[in-house]
Amino acid sequence: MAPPQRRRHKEQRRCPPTDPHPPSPPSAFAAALSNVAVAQICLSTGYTAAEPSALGALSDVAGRYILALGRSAAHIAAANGRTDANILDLVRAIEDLSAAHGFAGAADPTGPLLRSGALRGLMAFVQSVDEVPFPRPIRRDENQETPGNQWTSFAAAGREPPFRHVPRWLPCFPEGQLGEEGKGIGTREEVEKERTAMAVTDGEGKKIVELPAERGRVRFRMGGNRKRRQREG
Amino acid sequence: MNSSSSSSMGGEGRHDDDSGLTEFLSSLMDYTPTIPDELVEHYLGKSGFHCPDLRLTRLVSVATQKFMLEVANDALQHCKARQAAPVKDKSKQPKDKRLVLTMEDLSKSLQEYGVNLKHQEYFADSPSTGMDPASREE
Repeated sequence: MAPPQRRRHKEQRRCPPTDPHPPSPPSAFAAALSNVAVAQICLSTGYTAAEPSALGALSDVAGRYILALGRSAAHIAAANGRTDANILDLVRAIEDLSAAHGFAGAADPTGPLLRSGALRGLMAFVQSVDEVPFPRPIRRDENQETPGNQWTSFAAAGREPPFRHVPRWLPCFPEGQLGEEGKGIGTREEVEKERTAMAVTDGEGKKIVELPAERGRVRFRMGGNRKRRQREG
Repeated sequence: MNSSSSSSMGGEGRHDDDSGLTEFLSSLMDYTPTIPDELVEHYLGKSGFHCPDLRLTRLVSVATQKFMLEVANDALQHCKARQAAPVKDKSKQPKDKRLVLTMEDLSKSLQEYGVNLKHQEYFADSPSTGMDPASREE
């Protein structure tokens, strides 16, 4: 018993642990945009040039910073039972992210959030820094990847869900997956009709499954061997 | 006694803070951040953050801009310190005092913020990388 268990254990150990959130590669357009924005910020500090690799790394850090802020704020909102984040969640997230470097008032975590030192630092920053707008207007993509705004529920679309157990507030099924007009898989009644056609009970209560298509008759001949044996004997 | 006085003080202070915060948030509507709203919304949508208020998007943008500016400033100080350091061999002293954002300074400044950035060994992002500074100038 022991060896197969051990082998199984080894196999488990051999496969690497899969990361639940694999880092997705940033889209090229977003990376290019943040490159330009970060280059402008560097220019405003006094730099005259930048290595492409350093600029790319810094803009990648900028993207990750925004992602971390959003993720943290969304987590805090979800922990408080809300789906939409508000300013308190965002301020808490900003505090969390700036805790590594420290900010005024960080020693008192129970203080009111709207009087946070991090927020005051942001206010002072906005007043002190010159506005450097992005050089060009950005075309907004119509079919954005934000899934929050795309779907419409059955009730909003004015359609009835194809199954009785599907509530009307759920988003519509995608076109072609389940035929709304009886195409494809079909509605529940049709499926049940097919089932009753296929299963016919015989007299003893057993279920016999009838095949839908007719097949040609096949004959078997029994006892061919015995005759041969008799001849041999 | 102490608590009552502090609460009355806090009440007035909170009122001032609230008005200051409201002013700040409304001023963000007129502010044009360097990091465009579209980019911030793209990343925020990816992260699961959902809020229809544009002012919060602007706040995220401003916070990111502040962070980037701090990192860039730190890298700039590193760069200036390196250039100001006395060089014994005068032939090796670089002639141009241009301020260039390099991976070396950036990794030093990002390390203070908890980001461990390391240059790859044998990393060449331009044809002149690895050559002598003298030949590079030519």
